[in-house]
Amino acid sequence: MEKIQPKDIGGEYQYGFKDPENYVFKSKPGLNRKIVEEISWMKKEPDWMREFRLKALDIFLSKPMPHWGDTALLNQIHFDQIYYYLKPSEKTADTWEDVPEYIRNTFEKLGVPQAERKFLAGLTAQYESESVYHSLHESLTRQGVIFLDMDAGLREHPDLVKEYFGTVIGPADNKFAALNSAVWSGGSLVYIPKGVQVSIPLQAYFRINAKNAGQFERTLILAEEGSSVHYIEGCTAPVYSSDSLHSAVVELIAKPGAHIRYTTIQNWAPNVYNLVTKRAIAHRDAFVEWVDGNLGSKLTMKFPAVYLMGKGARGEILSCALAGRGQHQDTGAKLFFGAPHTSGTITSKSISKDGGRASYRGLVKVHPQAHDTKVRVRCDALLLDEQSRSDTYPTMEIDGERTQVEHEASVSKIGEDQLFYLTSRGITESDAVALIVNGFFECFAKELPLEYSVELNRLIQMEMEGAVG
Amino acid sequence: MTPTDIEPDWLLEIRRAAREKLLQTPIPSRTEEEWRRTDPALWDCSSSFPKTLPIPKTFQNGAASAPTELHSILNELDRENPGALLIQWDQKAVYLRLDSELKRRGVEFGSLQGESGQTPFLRPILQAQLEESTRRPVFTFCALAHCAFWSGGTYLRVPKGVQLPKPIRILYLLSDATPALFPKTLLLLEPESYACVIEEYRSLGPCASQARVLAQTQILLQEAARLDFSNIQRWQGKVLHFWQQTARLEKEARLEATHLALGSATSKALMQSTLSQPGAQSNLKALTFGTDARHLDYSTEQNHLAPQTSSDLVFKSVLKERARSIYRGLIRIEPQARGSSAYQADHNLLLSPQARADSTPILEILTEDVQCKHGATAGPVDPEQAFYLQSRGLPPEEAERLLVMGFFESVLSSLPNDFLREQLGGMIENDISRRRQGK
Repeated sequence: MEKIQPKDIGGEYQYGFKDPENYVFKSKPGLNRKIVEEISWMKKEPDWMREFRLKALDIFLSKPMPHWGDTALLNQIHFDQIYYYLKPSEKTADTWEDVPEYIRNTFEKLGVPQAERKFLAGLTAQYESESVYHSLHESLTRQGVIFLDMDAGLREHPDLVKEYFGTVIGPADNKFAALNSAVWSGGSLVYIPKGVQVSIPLQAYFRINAKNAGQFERTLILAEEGSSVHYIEGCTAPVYSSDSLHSAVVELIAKPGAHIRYTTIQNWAPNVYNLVTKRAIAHRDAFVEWVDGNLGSKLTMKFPAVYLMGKGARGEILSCALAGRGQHQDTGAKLFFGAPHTSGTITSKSISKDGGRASYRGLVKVHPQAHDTKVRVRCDALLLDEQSRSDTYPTMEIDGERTQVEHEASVSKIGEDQLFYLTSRGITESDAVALIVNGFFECFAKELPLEYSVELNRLIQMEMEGAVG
Repeated sequence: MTPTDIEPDWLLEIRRAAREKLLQTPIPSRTEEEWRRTDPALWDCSSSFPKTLPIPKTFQNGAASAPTELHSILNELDRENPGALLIQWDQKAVYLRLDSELKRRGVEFGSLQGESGQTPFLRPILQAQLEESTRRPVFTFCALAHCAFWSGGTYLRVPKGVQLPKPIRILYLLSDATPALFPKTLLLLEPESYACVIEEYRSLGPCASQARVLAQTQILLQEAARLDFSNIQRWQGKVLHFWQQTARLEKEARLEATHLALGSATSKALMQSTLSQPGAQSNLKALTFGTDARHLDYSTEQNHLAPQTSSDLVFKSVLKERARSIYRGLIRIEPQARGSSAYQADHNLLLSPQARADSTPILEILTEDVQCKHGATAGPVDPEQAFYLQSRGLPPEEAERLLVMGFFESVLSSLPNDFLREQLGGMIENDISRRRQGK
């Protein structure tokens, strides 16, 4: 039997169109105090935020590069060649028609407005570093829900931002969190008042457009007691020849009994560095879910974390990655157990092909005060050809009384028996491979709202169909 | 024996070269992943190193005459009727016996010290050890220290096609007076041979020892050789134990290695199996029992370099009081090792709230045609099991003994022969009852 070579999966980047650059303000490349002060001045920020940025800049400059992970790729980043701030148009538009046409076209091609019109309660589309479009369902506004881009959030709710900004991920957390803290722009501020259940997902869409543009969005979601919210963030970026850097910081705070679900689908161009810090704090009986899908990029390092800090808190992380030619998906999850009767699960699925490398890197840490806790970790990896690589680097540190920990991982190729079963039913071998690959990602696909899966289906299906069709 | 007098020049050269390198090798930083949880400075033996080479005779102290303990140990081992037996007391071999039948069939067995000049096969192996000691930088300082200062030690060569009917026993004894010990075991099995070897580290005397131990076991299995190997660590007192087991397996060779740890204050161990040719098979098992504040830190490596190789690993730890277990295991499958399979499991039973277990099972898979799985668990005694035992009126110590033996049972029952099953099971039972009497 001839061997299937799914060479073409993800070989072409479908969203590689780009607009001519047309910016009101573009900072000089490189990073120094002046650039940071300029960003803060352009945004007319309060003094405390400027100080926060400058302090973070000092931390960024003094911290060494991480000495773990894919250091070879990391050390190829040239921080002095990156543009740290771009502002595409003068002000944020209120209706779709006010958005400049060329930006609208970009979103049209990605299918955002349809999705927004039909299914989404609110939308903050981040084009480069400022929000250009923003809307929020009226009924939610009446209930006191805040859904703004972070810059507007800082202007309109300075006290709220000041109280919580940087409390989950401080600038000293790691080098890239420090970088983000110094030059952040855009991102979302979400506030759900006590007891409010937001039944329709909130969505923000990020894109990087300019060459060598850094994108440093900053998102803070605060769910008050007993509230619930589902937030969706998706990214596609056009292809550029020189490398781009994306380094976001996402902070979630789930107050007692609150439920936050944060869904990400990322499909960066194959030259983007995607180095993201995501962390949630779950208070008593709160429930936080990360659903994290990673396609594309050159190097992704992303380990969404849940800190279970209150009795009965729960954390669930579902991480999926597809690593293609020249890509390293270094993804995973972290669960910190800081309180008794807490529990969590981590599920990781990865596919490596065309010499791509997918790594699961995870940490489960149970502190002494966290007795009667349970955690389950499951990692599955599929290798589609001989050149590809899959790694699993889980760490478990168990220091709590009556803790149950389970970890399981497997790495395999597509099963001969599965292929035989399907082909014996008259399905062609290439269709069979596609079916198996789709089935492998099924657990991720089904976690997304059906309506929203238009975008995801486009991303995953197109990649997979190209492979075997 | 007066070993230093006999040690050949080429061996002294190896020692000198290792010592030169050692002087230029800093102790690794605590930020290295391998040493994040255990302080490498614990094995900084520089204060106990002899200042000159060759090693002066005073450092090679050993038994002038066998004390009564030694007699009882000899009696005990003789009852087992091993095919060969070597007992080393501190740095010196004090007892050596090899069945005349085995000697006749060409089996070579003896103390590395003194005889290394007469045993030509040792020279390339010892030279290669020096060259390979820098392969893993974070362990280089231990490997070099061992290379420069090992004393005593045991070698075994089983010629082609020879199947040893009875087990070989190697016993390293440590008295309280000795500040540092560097045991070394070399096992070479030529094609299609078979042996069962038990290597044991045991304390002698009232057990107030605070010795630093740097131990090394090297296993070379040639084509289709089979070895059932067991390493048993029963240091009493506050011994700091570093142990490195390296195994290289050629075509169709099979290793069944079992490690049992019942002693020491702090242990750091590195167990490596390199499957260098097609069809090689390595099975590693370890049972560790942590009590008091014992600190057990293990790293394992299953390196698949050739197609159709397979490896399996099971680690089981029982932890009491404030004991801590650290497991870090790597399965690496190189691109050319197609059609290989590898498994790895780490299970921890935590019998006290203060006990702690860290587990990091790592997979690095560079080809697609593989079957790889690993699993890790940690947890307390199943409350239903505990309740069942209580409801039958068992005293708590007896219930605990049953639970511990039950937890280890799956590994004990999978050991390659009855002799090992009885030996290892018996040692665990002894340890539990001795501990119970002590309290």
